[in-house]
Amino acid sequence: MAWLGSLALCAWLVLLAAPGQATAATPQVPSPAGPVADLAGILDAGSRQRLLQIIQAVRERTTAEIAILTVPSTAPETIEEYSVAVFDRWKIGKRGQDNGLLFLVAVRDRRLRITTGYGLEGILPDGKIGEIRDREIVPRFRAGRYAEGILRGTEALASVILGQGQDGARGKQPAAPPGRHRSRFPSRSTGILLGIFIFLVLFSAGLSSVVRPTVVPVRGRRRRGGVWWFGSGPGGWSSGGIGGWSGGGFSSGSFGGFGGGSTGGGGAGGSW
Amino acid sequence: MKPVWIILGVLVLIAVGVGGTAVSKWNQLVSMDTDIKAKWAQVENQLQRRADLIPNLVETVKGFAAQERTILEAIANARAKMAGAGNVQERIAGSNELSSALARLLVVVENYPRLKSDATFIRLMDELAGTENRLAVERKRYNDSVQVYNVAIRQFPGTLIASALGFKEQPFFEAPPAARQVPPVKF
Repeated sequence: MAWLGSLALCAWLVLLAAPGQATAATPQVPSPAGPVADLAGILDAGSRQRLLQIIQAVRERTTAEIAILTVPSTAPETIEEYSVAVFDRWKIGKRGQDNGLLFLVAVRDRRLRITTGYGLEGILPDGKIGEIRDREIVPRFRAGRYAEGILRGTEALASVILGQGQDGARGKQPAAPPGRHRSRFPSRSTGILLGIFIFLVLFSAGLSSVVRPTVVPVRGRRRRGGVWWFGSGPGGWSSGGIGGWSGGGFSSGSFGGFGGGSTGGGGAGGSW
Repeated sequence: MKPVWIILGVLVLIAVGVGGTAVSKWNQLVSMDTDIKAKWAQVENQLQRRADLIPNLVETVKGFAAQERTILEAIANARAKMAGAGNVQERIAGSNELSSALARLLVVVENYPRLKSDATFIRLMDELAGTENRLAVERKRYNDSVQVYNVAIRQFPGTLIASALGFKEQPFFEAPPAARQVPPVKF
């Protein structure tokens, strides 16, 4: 009778431990290597230096983070999907303020995309970015002067951020897009719920690991080890799932890493 | 010790184990459900944002291409239908209708060079393209959450909890292929 019970418990635990999380495919993107990542090799040393200075100045004065990435091609993804994937991985911008900006150039595709974090959408609406693209970037790109186009474009973007940033990019954000600030609340409460959930899962995992050795000693040492391992299943499984979900912002890049910002896919792009 | 106590002890431990699992599964489903609602709220924001852009867009297009009445009416109707939609399914259907009407407009716009080079129109198209992209991003995040949740409530033991406590499958936001492309901005 007792062995039947423990067998049922074992079966239950094995079923619990069975992996069942389906994860959606995410595009392969480069790991963050610094604010200026010239994978397409279109920037000369001078422009690169100047870009780093601009980015540094913006970061120091407003905490906003600009990242520049050039790649030969974003295929098979569209440049929009690729931009968001890079943004999600690099987490550009300060956590909570989401004041990051990604300037992506896909040279062979002849496409560019400037993606803003949630917190910059108010300062840099899509139309404004489109204006900078048409005025500063595209004419130079058409003439093959990539470095100059990136430099002038970044300068224009930076001056908008700096102009607005001086009276506090923190609190005041004129013409903020509808909804983002409203909707921060649910995502925060989701975080709290997730926290409670983690606690409960860990608690129940701890509980079951207390339970199992008491149940199974009859079965001998080897078997107990096995069951113990299954017991750690639910805990390991859920912490893996949650870790991926809430996305800890500890990037392990060789440079300091970006601040943990996120994007909703705002911004503008186009081809030349 | 009598065997009856051992059996009783085992039964109690099983009950505790099962109860603990049930509670944690239930909490997991609740947090997933809340997560889906939060993600859907973000989708709603972008649908609203797009709806807000449309009157301006229609006015601008009218100024150059008033004869494209059918398309402009289709856009206005789709927008009105979305505003009147009650549940998520209807919102999704209305949104997809609006997307296809907008896609048709973009094709027609090619015939009006003056419209295409109008500064207001270009800005509006940038805003619209940005909003479509935001919508695509939030839609994907919503669908990812729905997928995890729908799997969880159909798998054992989640399915027991879900059917006992009335957790229902949530609809995916499937966009028609035409709407998946961000409207191209040409120069």
